Amino acid sequence: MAQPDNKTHFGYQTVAAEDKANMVADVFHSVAAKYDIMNDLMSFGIHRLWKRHTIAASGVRQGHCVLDLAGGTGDLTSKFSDLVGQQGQVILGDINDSMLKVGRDKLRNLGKVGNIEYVQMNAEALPFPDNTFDVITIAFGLRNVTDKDKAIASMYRVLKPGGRLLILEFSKPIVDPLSKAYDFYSFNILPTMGQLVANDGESYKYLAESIRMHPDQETLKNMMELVGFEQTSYENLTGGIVALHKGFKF
Amino acid sequence: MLIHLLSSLIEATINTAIGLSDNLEGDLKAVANQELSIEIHDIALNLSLIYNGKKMSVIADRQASAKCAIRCNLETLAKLQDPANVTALIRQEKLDLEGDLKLAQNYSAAFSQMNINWSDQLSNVLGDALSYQLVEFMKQRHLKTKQKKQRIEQVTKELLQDELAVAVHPIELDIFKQQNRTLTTTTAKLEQRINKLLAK
Repeated sequence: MAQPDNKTHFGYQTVAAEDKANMVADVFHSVAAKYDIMNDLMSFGIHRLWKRHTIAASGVRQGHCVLDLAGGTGDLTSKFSDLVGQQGQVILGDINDSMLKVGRDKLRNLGKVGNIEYVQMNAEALPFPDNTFDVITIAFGLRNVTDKDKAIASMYRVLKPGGRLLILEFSKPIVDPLSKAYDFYSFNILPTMGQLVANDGESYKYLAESIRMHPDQETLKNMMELVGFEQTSYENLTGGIVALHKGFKF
Repeated sequence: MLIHLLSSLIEATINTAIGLSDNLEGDLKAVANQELSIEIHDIALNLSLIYNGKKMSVIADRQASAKCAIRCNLETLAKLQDPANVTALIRQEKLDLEGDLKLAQNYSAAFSQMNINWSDQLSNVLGDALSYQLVEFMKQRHLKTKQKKQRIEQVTKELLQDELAVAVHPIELDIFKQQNRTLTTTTAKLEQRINKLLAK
């Protein structure tokens, strides 16, 4: 959330709100090429199951128009492209052009063409008319957004009545021993792994810090309700390390 | 999460089969873009199958309605390999089907006619001669196992029928019990008379 004095968090640092987007961009420019392999290593492949759960909860059908926000390397877009068919459309949106390029190349190599558009965009000001999408997803992206309230409001605006928003994001572990092990892993093993594999320990230190600064399950649910989402709910996955928030626009 | 791991394994297996089979991709055209939901209640598994013309997506616990939804147990699901069984299983109330019956039959037909040329596939790794011998050996083993299974089933059936023929019918058993009771009463009366005669 942007702070009143136009300051915001970048990991544990407090920075000027207008600087955060560029700082986050630098992180993702740096990790884009090794993003997928690092995701598999860091999560032991479990991120694929979290994403499958999100797809199951999305209810995406033939002909739907889907926005995969902060879609990065296109894991969700790939599956949505299969589900919406040629009558539907998937927009893979990301603020970072390096991530978009990696995603576009990956999906084209998989033969996913025809119903996917790639758009560089800022989640706080989505460049689409009101009531455009049946489903919007944002997976592991919201915590990097400078003004989260503004981004959620923007998503609400472009969602069709009856449409649903799914936010898959790191959250607060609900089991104490797991929380301690997770802290140790995040602040000791993760940056080392990032240094060894992606040659960038700092970016993975930011990842761990940004997760801790992200709103917990209930706070995020309230944020969704404040901009107008109804029937909001969340599911804790892997003991709350990740949570899937869901809300509808009516 | 395990359910999603399982669905991803099933999805990978089906897509590998589509790639290997000579005819499956063509046969699945009939079900393209039509969703089939399968609920297997004895293992609490709910899977949705969607074929997009190239790849099959298998999604667990999907929150969307399907064109055809079937509910059954694992044993019944295995019987669905034969599309002719679909209506029979519905009549026997072993299969609960909602929606388009034809879609379930088309899925069933596509998978039952799946033909993978294993010899051709294995020859890339093992060479022609060895892969041919291996596949022939496996076919022979499969045939022998199938014949053995049929023989065991036949023998069991015959044994049960023979046993049924010599076994006492419940009515016969009732009559025997009745006769036994009559005999006991008669013997008791006779005993009393003998005792009376001895007392004189």
